Amino acid sequence: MNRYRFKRYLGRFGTGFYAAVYVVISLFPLLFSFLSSFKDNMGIYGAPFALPEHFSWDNYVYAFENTSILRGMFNSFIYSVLSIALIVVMSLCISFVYRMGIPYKNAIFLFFIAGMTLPVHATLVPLASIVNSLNLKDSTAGIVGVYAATNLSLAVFLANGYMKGISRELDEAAEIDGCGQYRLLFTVLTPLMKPVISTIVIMTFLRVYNDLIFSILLISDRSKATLSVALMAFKSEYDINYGGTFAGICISILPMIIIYCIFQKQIEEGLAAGSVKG
Amino acid sequence: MNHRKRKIGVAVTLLLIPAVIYSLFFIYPILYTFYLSTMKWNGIAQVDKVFVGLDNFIKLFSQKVFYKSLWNALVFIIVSLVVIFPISFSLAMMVSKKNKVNGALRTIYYIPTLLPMAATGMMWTFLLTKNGGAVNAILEFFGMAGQDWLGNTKMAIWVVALVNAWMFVGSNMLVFITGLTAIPGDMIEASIVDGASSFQRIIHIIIPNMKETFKIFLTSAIAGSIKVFDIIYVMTDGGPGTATDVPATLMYDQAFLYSKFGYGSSIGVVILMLALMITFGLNYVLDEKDEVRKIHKKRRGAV
Repeated sequence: MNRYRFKRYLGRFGTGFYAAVYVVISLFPLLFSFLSSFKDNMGIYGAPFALPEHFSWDNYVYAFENTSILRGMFNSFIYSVLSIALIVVMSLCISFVYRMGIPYKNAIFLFFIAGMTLPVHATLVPLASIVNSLNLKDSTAGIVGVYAATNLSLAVFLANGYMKGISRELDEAAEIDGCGQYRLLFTVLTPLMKPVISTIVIMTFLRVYNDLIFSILLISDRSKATLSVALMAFKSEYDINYGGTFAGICISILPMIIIYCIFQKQIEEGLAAGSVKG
Repeated sequence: MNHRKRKIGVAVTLLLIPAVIYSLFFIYPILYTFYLSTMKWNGIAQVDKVFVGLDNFIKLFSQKVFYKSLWNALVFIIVSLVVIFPISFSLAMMVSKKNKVNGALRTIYYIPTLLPMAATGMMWTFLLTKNGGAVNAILEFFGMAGQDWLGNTKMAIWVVALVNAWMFVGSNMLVFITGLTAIPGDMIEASIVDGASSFQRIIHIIIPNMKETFKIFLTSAIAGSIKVFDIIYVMTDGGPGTATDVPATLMYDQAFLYSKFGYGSSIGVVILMLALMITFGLNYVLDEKDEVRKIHKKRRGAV
């Protein structure tokens, strides 16, 4: 009995130790960046792990005043909101068409979820010239359109799966009461889809807000750049201000951590749902 | 009949905007990549495209750097299997039971995944700097020699793939947790009652029940490795030299730095084909195996 107990304690200690080590691995780089964001270059190089000698916001002031990071965050946020709105409405429409049982509904559905297996990278080269020829370079419409198109498939997949679970008797009852198709979709079914809509909102937000590749490709005007591009600009400056860069990194990370703490449950569910696509 | 016609009218109206946006910005560019891959073109609309057949592909397959980029993608696959898989699976086993401590741990493990890759990539670039980077400072504190992590042509791709692992352990942990919570609780309880050790439980109950989840992990890890772009672009931009180039960065450079849109498109086609082949091929192979096993099981049951 005693030996058994000892073994169990040892096992507990082992897993506890492992858990703690991985906590350090996950958080250390972030804490280090946070610490460094209050130091000057000398402090970062000279004593990387010391607390800042005098606590100053200089680096943050520098980041806000000399770079377009705030502008970038604002742009990323706007692009996210617009593409989320488009994707939610479009995925509801497509799932509803499938539900109506029109001819070729399977082909239509397959067409819209094909994007889940198509790598967006294969679109990049032509996309640049298509967007140019439509005069949509540096335009909100262009980049939001691209975000909406490339993130649509997963949303359709999720929305359709959820809508299937809603009883059809509801549709029949609504039709007997003289409810039109549009009203059925937008006032009867949509409110019932809130859980899956919140999943779609969060998934799309994470993807669009963190996007790098499309903003490099489709935006050259600095004032329209996204967060990622604004952040990358720190790197290309000839005189690197490390403290300022770390401040920029912290500024861009913080909102995500706050959002995660608020919407943790939805984010985890959304990611779990999004990963099960096989 | 009239009713049905009206329904089709509604369907067309609802599908109009999605079809235009999705086709214009996703499906059409995919098809256009195939077309461009047979052309020589510098990307300027006024300049004519010249048909060159399969020349772009022949040229691509004769370039050493292309095979190098495939090898680098393979490095990402290897790191997924030997680093991301064991860590995220073991973390998932540890924190899958719901309680307060596990909830907090889960949150912490998940944080690296949801931050903008531009931010975390830059952060790691600084941490890995040769002179004065935090990683080398730690090593030197323990009396070890610092390394030029991202400047060493042999090591750089492994280092970047490990940083990538740091970012994706959290999301894969969530995938595994989803799989673990789907295992019926009474199965686990029965094994405890029967006196199975935790090791036996893992081998005989958990792993066989996680097959679907492992399949998802494998498919997305391999297909994802073929498509890697962001982290390379942020951390090394393919350098030093071409040591860390992956197919997507090659494509980007050829098309947008050297204005070879046709040649770049041919790389895009290769990425597309590889990703599709892996997704469908792997699904097919893994399903096949499952079928065989099911038949065996049935036979054994009959005997």
